[in-house]
Amino acid sequence: MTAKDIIAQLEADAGWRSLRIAQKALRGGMNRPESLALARFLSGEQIRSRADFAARSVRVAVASDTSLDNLADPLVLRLLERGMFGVQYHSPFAQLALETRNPASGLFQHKPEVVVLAPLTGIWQRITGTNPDSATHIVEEAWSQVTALRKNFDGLILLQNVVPVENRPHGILESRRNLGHPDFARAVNLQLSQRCRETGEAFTLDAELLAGQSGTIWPGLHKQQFMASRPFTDDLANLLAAEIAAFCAARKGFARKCLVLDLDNTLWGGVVGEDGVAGLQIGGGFPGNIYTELQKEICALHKRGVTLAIVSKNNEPDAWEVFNQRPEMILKRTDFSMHRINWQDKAFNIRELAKELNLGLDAFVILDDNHVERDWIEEALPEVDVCPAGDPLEMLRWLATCRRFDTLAITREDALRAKSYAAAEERSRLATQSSNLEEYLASLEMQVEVGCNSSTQIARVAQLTQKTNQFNLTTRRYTESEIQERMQNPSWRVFWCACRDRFADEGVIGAALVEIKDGDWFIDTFLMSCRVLGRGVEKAFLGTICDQAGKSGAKVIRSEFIRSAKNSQTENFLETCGFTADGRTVDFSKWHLVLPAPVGLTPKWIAIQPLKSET
Amino acid sequence: MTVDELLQPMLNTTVPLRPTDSRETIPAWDSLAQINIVAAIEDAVGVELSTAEVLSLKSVAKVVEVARSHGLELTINAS
Repeated sequence: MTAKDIIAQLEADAGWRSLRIAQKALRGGMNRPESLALARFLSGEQIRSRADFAARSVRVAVASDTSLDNLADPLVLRLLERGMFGVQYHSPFAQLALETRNPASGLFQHKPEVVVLAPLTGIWQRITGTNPDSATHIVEEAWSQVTALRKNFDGLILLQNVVPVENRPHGILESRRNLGHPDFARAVNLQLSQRCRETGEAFTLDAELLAGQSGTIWPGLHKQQFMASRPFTDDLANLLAAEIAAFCAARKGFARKCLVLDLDNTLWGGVVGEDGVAGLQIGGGFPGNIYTELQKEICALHKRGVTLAIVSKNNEPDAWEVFNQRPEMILKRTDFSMHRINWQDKAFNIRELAKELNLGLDAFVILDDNHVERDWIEEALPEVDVCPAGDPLEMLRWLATCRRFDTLAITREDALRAKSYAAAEERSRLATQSSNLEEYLASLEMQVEVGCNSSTQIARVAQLTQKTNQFNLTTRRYTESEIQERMQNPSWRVFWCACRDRFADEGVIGAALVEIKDGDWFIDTFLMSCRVLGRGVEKAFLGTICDQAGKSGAKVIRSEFIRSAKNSQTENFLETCGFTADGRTVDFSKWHLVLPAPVGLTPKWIAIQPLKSET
Repeated sequence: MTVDELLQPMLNTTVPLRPTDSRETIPAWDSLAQINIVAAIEDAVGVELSTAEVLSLKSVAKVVEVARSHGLELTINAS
């Protein structure tokens, strides 16, 4: 079945039957264009108009210190596998800290039920040294995102931990350092999960664990990192997506409650009616030991509160004889709440069980080695989750990793805490969020450095003009030789801007080209990398340039805005900096500012270092 | 690929293998050799063998049969 057919099916009906068809196709291994087409449809507006969509939709927001946008497609597909429709929001690149602190941010406007916070995905690129102190700092910084978000959010927070990297500065001696990279990741993660556990504010999204199960290319050493600053491989994104989907299902109350088991070749190897009780494979060596492990897994689920039932085509006395006579059986007859050991249609049996247990069919999971039975149950009862495997080892693997029964054990204390956060008093205090945002920005101890005509920055400035699309007033592209030429031309100035804070040195992230005409300054180009936006660096940079213009004797500084496909966020920038419009259409506007510039363009939380100039 | 190329190193022998050879006729065909045979077939065909297939690998003829069902032809030495 092609993605097109599945989309047509989902368009006609977004109920369980359509979901199962899509799941089956995904299981069968869809190629990338097909799965992408399906993911795009599931993320689109079209499906949201369906009434059956709303009942099973979940709103998820993802905010990270870099970009997890390659999580979006896997997540919508893994949610589909769990019978849910994902409505997702992804914060802009590296905007995590701002989005969590601003109640008007896109994240809050999305009204998420689940927020994935990933404050540490870019940690290996920005950290300068690993030691116990830096580990504590990183933990505090990551945790501050949780507390900031919690002020305005009652839902589920998933805090993603650090993924270890293969990059070990001292190689095999790394473990002798205090702390080497691997131990640093472990120390940070241990402290974070401890915070999660003790405060109850968030759950650990264990990327460290999942990275160990994914692929052979280390995060940070793969193409996506270098091509798009996406820290995770597709493999890891898929595993994370499945884990997030499990949290979503738990949050929405979609966890399954009852496990229905076949007997022959499911709980034991062989057929009791043919091989006899003594001839069955259970316990001992291969393959009986697989069935032992499977029973242990089922037993653990039972202890967690999952109801067990048997639905098997067998003679009932034969079946109980196995329980009575084989001491290797981990599961006891009394572990099963219900049973239907007969020769009737299994779908009929399961429907009866549901009625007697007073559970919906969407609370059931079936384990059965016979693919004909599996197909029939899936066809007749699409609400039921059927383990797709028949091989005992595959069944064991599926059961161990399916996450179908997982719940968020919410204690009374957790519930009370959630209520206190909703308290009106807390809310009104935080309504004046801007002061908190400023406090946060001040705590970053930001330092901005501006330089002019520096030959060492030719390559970087040229690169910025070529790559920067979003915060770019005019989107003029320059080659290195063009930049060099302008640096040497007395009627031009080439400015660069670098930024660092307590946690990271961002390097040169802004550039501006100014042409001097009849003594007045004209800003030909002004741009800033998106990863520092929203912290006021762009204003500090422009303010510094205006100051320089004033000092050089210019009476006025002029600039313009040229619309591109991507730079709409800069269209009001000059206005917010006090510039006056001289002429304005939708796609082009001219601006000027009379010098000396009014003070205060540089935010008070930013310290500007004295200008470095080579000419 | 021939049966001998696949199996002789695992069974620690240079004698040409016959279809009827099995765990009974070849002393070196122990559980460790069995794991190596399973892994060698899995490597060659690129899929995991099922538990039932693993259990059926008790003779050279069966190895040939399972390999063939996954598209791998193992020729038996004519001599």
